[in-house]
Amino acid sequence: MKPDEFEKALARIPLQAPPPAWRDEILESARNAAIPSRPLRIDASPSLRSLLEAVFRRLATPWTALATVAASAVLLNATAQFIAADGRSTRPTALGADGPSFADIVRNHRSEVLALLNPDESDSETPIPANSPIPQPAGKPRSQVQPAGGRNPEQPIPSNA
Amino acid sequence: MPASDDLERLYDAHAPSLYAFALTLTHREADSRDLLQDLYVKLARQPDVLNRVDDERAFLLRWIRNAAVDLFRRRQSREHLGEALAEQIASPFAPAADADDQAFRAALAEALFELPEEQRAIVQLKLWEGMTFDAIAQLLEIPLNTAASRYRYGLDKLRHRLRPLYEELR
Repeated sequence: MKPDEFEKALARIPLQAPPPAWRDEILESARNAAIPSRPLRIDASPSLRSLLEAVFRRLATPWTALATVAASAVLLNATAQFIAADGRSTRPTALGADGPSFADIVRNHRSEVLALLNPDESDSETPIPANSPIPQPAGKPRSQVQPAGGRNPEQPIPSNA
Repeated sequence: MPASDDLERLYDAHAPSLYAFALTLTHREADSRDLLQDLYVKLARQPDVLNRVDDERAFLLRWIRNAAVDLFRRRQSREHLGEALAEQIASPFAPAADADDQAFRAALAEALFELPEEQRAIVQLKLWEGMTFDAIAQLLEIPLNTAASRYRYGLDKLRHRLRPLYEELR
C-alpha cells in the first residue's frame, strides 16, 4: 500500500516533545521508586527464636504500644477492684447483707399505703397483718353510681316517635 | 534495576514518542505526564524487563497503551462523557510558527480525537512512528488485517474531515 500525498503530508507533521523540565523530575521519581525497601532480615536457617527476634525488632513501636495499652488495662482493672472492695467494707448500703429483707420492704410499703388510705387508723398502734387484703373505700361500685339528674343507663332510651 | 544512565538513555531515546502517543490516546497533558512517569518508575523497578526485548520502542508503546486503557476504564465510572469533551484538547503535534499550519494541526488534533481509540492508536503508530502493520498488529495483539482495515477507516475519516482545509493550504 503506497502512501498518498495526504498521508505523506500528515506524516511530516512533527510531534510534540515533553517539556524539558519533566526529564529530571520523572527520572528522579523513577530513581527514588527503585530504591528497595529494607528487607526483613531473617537467618538462612530460621529458628523460632530468630524469627521472633526479627519480627519484634522490625515492629518494635507497635509492639511497645500494644504492651503499654495492655499494662494500662490491667492496672486500671486492679485499681477498680481495690476501690470497690474498700468501699464495700466502710460504706453502709441500702440493700447490703445486713439490710432489711425484701419481704420487710414489701410489708413496710403495704402499711404505708394503708395509712394513706385510712388516715384515721394510721395513728393506731394496731399492727396490720402482712397478708390482710387492702380495704376498699365504702360505697357503690362505680358502674352502679347514677349521676345526679342524669339518665339511668339501665332504662331504655325513649323513642321520639 | 536499569542503571541511572540507562534510565536517562531510555528517556532520551523514547520519551518524545511515548509522550506523543500518550497525548494522542488521552488528549490530556496531565494524564500523559502521569503515564510517562509511571512507565519510567516501572522500568526502574523491573530491572531486567528489557533484556530480552527486540524492539524497545514497540514494547514501551504497548505499556503506554495498556496504561491508557486502564486509565480510561477507571475514569469511565467516575466521569461523564460531556465533561471530558468539554475539556481543552491537548494536541500531540508540535506548535507551528505559521498560522495556517497551526490551524491545520489543531484541526488534525481535533479530528484524531474524534476517531475511536483503536483507530486513533493505529493511525498514530503508522503515520508518526512509521511502524509496519505487522508490528502494529503484534503490539496491539490484533490480526494484521484488522490493523490494516482500522488504519484505512481512520485515515478515510481524517481525509474526509480535513480535505477542505488541506486543499486550501496546498
